[in-house]
Amino acid sequence: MNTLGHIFFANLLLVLGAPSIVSPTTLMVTSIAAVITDLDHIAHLRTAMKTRRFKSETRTRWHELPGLLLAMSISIAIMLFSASLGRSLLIGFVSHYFLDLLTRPTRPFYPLSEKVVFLGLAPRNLKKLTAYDTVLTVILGVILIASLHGQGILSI
Amino acid sequence: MAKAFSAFSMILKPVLTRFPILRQVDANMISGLGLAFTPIAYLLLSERAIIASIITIFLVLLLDTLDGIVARAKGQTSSKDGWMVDVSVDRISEAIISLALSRVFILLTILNMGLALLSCHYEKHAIIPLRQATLLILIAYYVLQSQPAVFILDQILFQW
Repeated sequence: MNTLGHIFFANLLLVLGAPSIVSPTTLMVTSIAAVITDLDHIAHLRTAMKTRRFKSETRTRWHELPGLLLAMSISIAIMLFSASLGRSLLIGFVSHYFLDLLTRPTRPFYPLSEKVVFLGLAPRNLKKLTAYDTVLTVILGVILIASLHGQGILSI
Repeated sequence: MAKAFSAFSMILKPVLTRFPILRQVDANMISGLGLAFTPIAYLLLSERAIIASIITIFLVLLLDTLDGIVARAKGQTSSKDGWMVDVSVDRISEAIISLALSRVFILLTILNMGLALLSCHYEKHAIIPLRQATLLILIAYYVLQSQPAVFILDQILFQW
């Protein structure tokens, strides 16, 4: 999923699932946690510009289950000091792995196994995938804005 | 628990013979559909909508069982491939559900993820059936709602 889609979905989970901790800080923390996992793609930016996509081989171990294990452990440790900060971090991290597994080919057990898992819920053709991502991102964005507006956090 | 779920699978097998269209569906897609339902379970649990959460988690588990049956019926995947899809979907699904639950469940989810990685490395299956346990606790929570014991379940599920 694209960066905006990750941010929208993570914040949607935060706003609808944990409204009591929603604040500009937690929204920001969730957004950062939702995209920070994608930093490992930077090393493959040049190849991705040519092929117009990041392949599953560009995902390091921190972008798969071992990474989620570490991210969740860090989040729960932070929860001991600040429950809202820890929970918003956790929501950001988990939502990223969720969306990636749902819409992209991943290697969940890398480096223990190179096996690529694809659930078939998103198209693999680049044009169709772009359209699919765009529609999904717009839907998530609209629902997020409506939720923020409904809770009085954002006035339109 | 394992016996209960093998009995559950036995009930689902005749469904496959009755609805041949299920044989045309990709097993991974059924796993994905089950995973797609988990944010709904998370949102319902956050709202403490217990009955709706029970129904949604049951649906997620039903789809999880169905994908295995469909894969086996079609002879679609080798056991290792199917295991990887199943386990990765299950762990992410648990992680999403645990977002609405107490720290105990988050810790158990982390532990389960570690066990899944060890299972892959040592090729010995050792997993805690966390979603099934959550479902049972939720049912107990609903049944005992007017009893003093519900306080303990509330602590386990949402507070600790």
